[in-house]
Amino acid sequence: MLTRYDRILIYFLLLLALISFLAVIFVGGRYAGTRDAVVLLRGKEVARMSLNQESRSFRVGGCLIEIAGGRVRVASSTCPNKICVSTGWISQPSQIIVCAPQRVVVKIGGGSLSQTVDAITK
Amino acid sequence: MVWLSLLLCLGIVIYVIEAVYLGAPPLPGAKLGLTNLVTLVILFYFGWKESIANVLLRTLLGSLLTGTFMTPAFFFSLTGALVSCAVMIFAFYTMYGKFSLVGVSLGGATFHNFSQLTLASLLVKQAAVFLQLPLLLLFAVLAGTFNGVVANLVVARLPLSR
Repeated sequence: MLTRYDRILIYFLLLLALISFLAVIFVGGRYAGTRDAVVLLRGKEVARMSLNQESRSFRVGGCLIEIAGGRVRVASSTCPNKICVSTGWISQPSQIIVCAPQRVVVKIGGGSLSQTVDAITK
Repeated sequence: MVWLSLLLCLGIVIYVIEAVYLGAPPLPGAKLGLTNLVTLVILFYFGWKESIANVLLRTLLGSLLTGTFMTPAFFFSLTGALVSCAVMIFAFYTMYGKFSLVGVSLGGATFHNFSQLTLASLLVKQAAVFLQLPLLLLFAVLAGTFNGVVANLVVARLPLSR
């Protein structure tokens, strides 16, 4: 049923998945200190809020963004599919929320560090 | 011709069901990708022109039925389906001897997801979208293998002439 080459391809793809998984975990971003929720609209940063604050909500584009308990999520959105809403809470630099129709992106950035820093060595 | 229509309808039904019932956590926006099964079967029995036509019609009609026509979701669907179709055509005509339909299907599945991720990253101008890659690759392998195995079974049992 499956030829030998099929199997090789499957193993190769699984290996790729594993490698990219490790890459995301380790290179996805490591920051010391508090983390910020970074919101981008059409690729431009429009909001950067520390995750360590009491609950607050604000609106970017058609998305209602909520920060609470060290996490951030899109609480509601005017987009048709609500994929952004169903993504739920994020708090790690390797996580991201995207609302394609609204061109809104919510990422986790470092507190006082620039976003281009990937890792810190002591 | 009747077969093409039937397969088109099958593809549309799969598309609509996937659009309605999937898209929940852990991976919102990622569906099961069973529509590639129809593309695969048409590619095998009828050729590349028919498979492209089928993909275009299915995405068009499916999006009209689900009310997503001309929305970003529609363009994502279209991109994924067309790119994966092109990859499958290429794989089928160059590598079918060595790989069974499973290999062709896997090529289509991975590029289906990958092209949609690429489109998303262009749309929101963030490379971070590719953080979804590991999970999507895993789903691509699962769905792609399933599609390929089923297609192999169909092809072994269904004698069809053009």
